[in-house]
Amino acid sequence: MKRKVIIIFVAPLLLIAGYSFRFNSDSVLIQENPLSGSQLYIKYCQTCHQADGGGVRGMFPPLAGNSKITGSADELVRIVLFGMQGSIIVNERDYNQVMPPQGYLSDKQIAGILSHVRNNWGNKAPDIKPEEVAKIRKLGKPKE
Amino acid sequence: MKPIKYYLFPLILVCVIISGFCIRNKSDQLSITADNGGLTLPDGFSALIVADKLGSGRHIVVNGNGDIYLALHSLHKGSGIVALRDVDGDGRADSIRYFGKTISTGIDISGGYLYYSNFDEVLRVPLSGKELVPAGEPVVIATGFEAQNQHQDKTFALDGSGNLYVNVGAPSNACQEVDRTPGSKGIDPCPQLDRHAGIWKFAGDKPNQGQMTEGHHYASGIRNSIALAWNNTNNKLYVVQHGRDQLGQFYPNLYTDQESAELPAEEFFIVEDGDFFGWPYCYYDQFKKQKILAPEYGGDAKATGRCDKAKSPIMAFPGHLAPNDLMFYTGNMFPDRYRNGAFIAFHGSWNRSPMEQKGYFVAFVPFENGLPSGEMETFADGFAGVKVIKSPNDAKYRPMGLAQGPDGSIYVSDSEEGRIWRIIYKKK
Repeated sequence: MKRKVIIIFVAPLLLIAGYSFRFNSDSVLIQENPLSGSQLYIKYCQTCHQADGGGVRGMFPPLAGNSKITGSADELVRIVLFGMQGSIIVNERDYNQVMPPQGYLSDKQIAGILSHVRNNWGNKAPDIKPEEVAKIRKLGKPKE
Repeated sequence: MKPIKYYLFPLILVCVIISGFCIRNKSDQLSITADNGGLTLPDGFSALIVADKLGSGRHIVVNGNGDIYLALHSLHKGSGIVALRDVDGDGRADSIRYFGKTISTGIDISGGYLYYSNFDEVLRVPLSGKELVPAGEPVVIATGFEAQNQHQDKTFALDGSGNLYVNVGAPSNACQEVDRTPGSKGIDPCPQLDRHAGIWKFAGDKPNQGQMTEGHHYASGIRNSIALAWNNTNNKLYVVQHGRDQLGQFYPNLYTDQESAELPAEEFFIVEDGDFFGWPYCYYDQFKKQKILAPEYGGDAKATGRCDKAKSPIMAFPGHLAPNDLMFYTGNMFPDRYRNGAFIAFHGSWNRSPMEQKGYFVAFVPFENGLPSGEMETFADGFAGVKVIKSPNDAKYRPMGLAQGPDGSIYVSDSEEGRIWRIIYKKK
């Protein structure tokens, strides 16, 4: 009798626990289902570099048709992680503003954004993996 | 042969008639284009294109003899200033000459000198009135400014009494520990206020004055005022400030996209000695009609905190329109209501995304007794050439500089294609 009672009470508990475990893992999944590269671009980059990736003449360089974007992955990751400033020329136009460091973004987020900008607006270059971002982050900010 | 006195009078008469015709012909022959060079203007106004493809135009000034000087933001044919002269009187420039070794933004004429500025200094060179390109050697008037990578244009105003007022913009958006980075706090007190984000006053004729030595720290707490002008009616300095950026991007919990597009206001200030206007601690909310504590300094989009100490604007414009030049109209050509009123060139926004961009027009604000006497109105529009501007690059032209000609015409410069328009008014 006592055993039966235990089973009756324990079984639903186990079921509930099992369900809640599933729910838990679901919510973890939701958290781990991050914004896509294009959504992150809108949130963190679009204000300056614009929706069409064209930048702003005289202020912020274009990402579309910019060989720095489709060139060396390491160099690109370095710019995003540690920022850059000073005068640069992109497609024969001068730019001289500050790109703030975006190191507060995760490796995965930066990889997503950069894969997005390397394969949009006519750009074509290999995706960037989170491990590549981690590698550059570990090397630290290059000495000026 | 009769003595000269017999035909002197008829001769003079003929001369007067001929010269009268010449003068009349000169002003009648202005080559106004049917489409006003792409601009839309109030009734009775029309425009002609003075010149095109001059380079990236910034501020502009017209000398008493009609010669035009335009500062350029990047070297064009190796030079940073372009001078233009209309020889045949049709309004279009016939002689176009480039000079000046550095890029420029600020440019003005006072006391027979052409003043111009780059990122590091303000210079002047004498103008003879005959030569289009100044023949003399330029002399540095104000110098010793710290290098900075944003808001670096040293635009200026001259008061006609020998003083020079130089805008030194803030080297950041909001004086954060890490500039333009979400979550980074504002440095308190902001050390950038020592050498930046204000107006410095100099003697207009004394060479090599250092910002921190001979320069007088005239006013503070102005983020960046590319647009500044002296008002002769009350002898005061007026500026229009570029308000801070990215409220919504960095504080999405406090500001919606729409609020971030509209806030903060671009503020119109009367600047007097010792004034403080609030940057970086405060910004102006044109809907609440008060200065609000910046979120980097603990603000929640409502609290006013220490902002009662900041001087209020005389007028507030929608956010991010980028007021890049200010001019008080002193001419006689335009109708009376324009006299002593303010023209403002709104270069146009870049950071209202995801909303469409705004600005890209020249505004007029009527004035009485040194204060706005009515709402801002659109004076010249159509620069962008498109109805909806998603990105600044969609705009074909962007109004950048304003100047008044000796006949009371207004000249507008463009930063994108290097066009100059001349706007005239004709009584019906």
